[in-house]
Amino acid sequence: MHFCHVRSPQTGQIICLPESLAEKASIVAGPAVISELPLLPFPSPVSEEPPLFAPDIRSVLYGKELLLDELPFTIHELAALLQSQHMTIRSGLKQTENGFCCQRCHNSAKQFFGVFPCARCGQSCVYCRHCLMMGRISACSALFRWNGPAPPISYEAVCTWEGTFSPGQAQASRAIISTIIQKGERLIWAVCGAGKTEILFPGIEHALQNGGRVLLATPRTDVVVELLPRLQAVFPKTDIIGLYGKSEDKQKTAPLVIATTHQTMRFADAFDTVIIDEVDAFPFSQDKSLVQAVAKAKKQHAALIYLTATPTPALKKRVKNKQLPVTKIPRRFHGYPLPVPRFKWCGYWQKRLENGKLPHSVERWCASHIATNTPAFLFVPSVNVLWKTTEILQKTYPSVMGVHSEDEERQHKVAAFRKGEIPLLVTTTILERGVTVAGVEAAVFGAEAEVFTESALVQIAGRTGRKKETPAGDVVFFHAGKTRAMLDCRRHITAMNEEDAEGGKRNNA
Amino acid sequence: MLKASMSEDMHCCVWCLEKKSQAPSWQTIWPVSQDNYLCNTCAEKLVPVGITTCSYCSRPREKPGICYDCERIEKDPDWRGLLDHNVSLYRYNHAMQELIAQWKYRGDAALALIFQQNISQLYEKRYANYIPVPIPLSPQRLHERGFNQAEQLASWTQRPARCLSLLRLRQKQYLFPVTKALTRVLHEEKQSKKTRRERLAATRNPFAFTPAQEVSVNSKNIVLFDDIFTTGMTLRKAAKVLKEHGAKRVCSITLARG
Repeated sequence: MHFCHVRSPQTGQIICLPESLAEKASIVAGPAVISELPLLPFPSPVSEEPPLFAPDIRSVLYGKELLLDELPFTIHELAALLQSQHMTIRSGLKQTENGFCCQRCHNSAKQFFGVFPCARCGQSCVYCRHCLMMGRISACSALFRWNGPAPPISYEAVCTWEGTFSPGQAQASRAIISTIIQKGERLIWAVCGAGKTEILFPGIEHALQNGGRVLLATPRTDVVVELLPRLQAVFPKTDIIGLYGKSEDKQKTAPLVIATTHQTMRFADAFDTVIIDEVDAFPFSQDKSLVQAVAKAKKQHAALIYLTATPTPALKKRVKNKQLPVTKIPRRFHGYPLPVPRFKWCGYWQKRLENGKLPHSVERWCASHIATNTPAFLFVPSVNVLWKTTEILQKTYPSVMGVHSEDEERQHKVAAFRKGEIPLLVTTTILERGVTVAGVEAAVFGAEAEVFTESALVQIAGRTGRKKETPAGDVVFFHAGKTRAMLDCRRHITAMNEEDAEGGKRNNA
Repeated sequence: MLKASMSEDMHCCVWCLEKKSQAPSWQTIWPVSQDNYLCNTCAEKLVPVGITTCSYCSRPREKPGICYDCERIEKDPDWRGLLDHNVSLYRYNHAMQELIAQWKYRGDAALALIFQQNISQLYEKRYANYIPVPIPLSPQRLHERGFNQAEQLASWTQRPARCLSLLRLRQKQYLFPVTKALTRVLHEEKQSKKTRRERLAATRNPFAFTPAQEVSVNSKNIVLFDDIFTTGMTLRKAAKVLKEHGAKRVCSITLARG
């Protein structure tokens, strides 16, 4: 399908229409492949109510930007709305000085664009391989946006949570509410096990009651699936949808949305409050696509709240330069300090592993935990090391198991570990976040490896002592040479504990 | 022209987009094998069908011979002798399923590059005097997908794999262009959504012959191209149309043996 720029007879504005809907006489540019047309400014929103048949289209498209393939309508069903500017079109790929920029995921790295002979436009077509999972955007694809008035959404919200906050949590939740009111930006830096989800409840309630749409963005599908029933229980009167790859809620509109990074990319100009959970753990946290996805999903003036235990250096720098207000919760919800990791040198373990042996210290640690029935995580740097270590341990303790990211039985093994059927779980960094097991202790084998960054190590140390009954726990880093990440991790944890001991001196900037 | 990346250096794996490890080897100085599109981890996930397979349909077997399904079909007077044989490159394992899903259904056209070398080698070695014919898509499906995956595979017959085989080809002087001798006149549900029984029961032939081509099919050998061989019904129906128009032998090259 080709597109043209047309001077609208009603408003005199230049608008983009498919070739089949444009009248020959009023064409200003085109017909051409949409990415070759010049850029148009964003049209001003239409305030008139759309025609009668439009509500279906509006509920699918409101606050989002979608491809025609994603819409359950044909272009002829949309014709009237396009001509009246209730819906607008823009190119999926934008031509830039040195290549292309994907308007959905904001990828502009040359290595993520492919080229293929396209049967749709009959030309050599560039396409974005970065967000391909959500349907291909190529040089001839158009993105559709709702430009009319918002659909009627019920913002009814009653928070039924009846827990009590620790002093740190209470302060953070107040800070969140004031950030939402001011439509500002804030980092909530809370240690692992501080009870981060709960502190959001009053803020979400406030935002919804004031008619604001809320997005809770999180890095992983598991978290969306886990949070959805939890939030639904807390806000029984509110419509909540969870969006992830296989979600069935994609065609719905709701005041409160929980979404993965990828699904966040589909939204445009939609949210008054955006909360990003585990901001440092997003896939591709190195590149800018998340920041830009959120920038596109939120309204121009919106509150932005980052929630993490281990802020990225970029965030810390902004905090240090007083560009980003921060609220710290240095104390866990049960009030005990974080376990401080100890370091243990274990020699050049790679060679011992080749010979089918573990270093003595690691072996002793594993043996003593299995003997005393203390559940234990043994983190290893790679899948290869995982295989070897598990094999060696299984010779003596057949019930030991290993898990990695592509293990199809991961959920079962973690469940068995929780029940105590597996005494010791060997794992790659996949379990560094989000897993709470009572009384667990953790060791990192080969802690000097590059995958164990400061944030990974802090998260690993944060697995231990999460329950009130067992607030302490042993954390050991078995290493063949201390790294900066290990030292930074220990410094991070002791600093948090000291801050807590000083009676909660918090630098609210 | 198919490209997996617009940047000049090819350091990323075409499939997982991770950086390939660039350990220097003697090939750094003398690159004998052509472009290596996959990283080692991804390359290991694709398993070739193996050496002992059914001689008709390329299904992996423990000993050479003909598999039970082929025996049954060769007894059926309707289907006997239509497709002379099929050669598949890989097993249809979990990784292959994912790869094909990303390639066909999500539309990552550039993934076809991965198979370029293997297909052109196989074609030159065994089918150099066969006309390559891709299994067509219906116009609707082609528009939906933006490309025909079988056509992409067939197009790899047009480029010699190595300099050595270039020399060999020059002696033989057989190189047919990709010939779109078939069209799909019936827009059906995707084969992947059907069961074996449904596939075997669907008797209407979705293919029709397209006469106006540079190369005549009459008394020529033909090699069909498709992505997956499951029951082989699609390929047999296509072969039937070609044989009705005088084709001598019809074989097929498929990517995966389902």
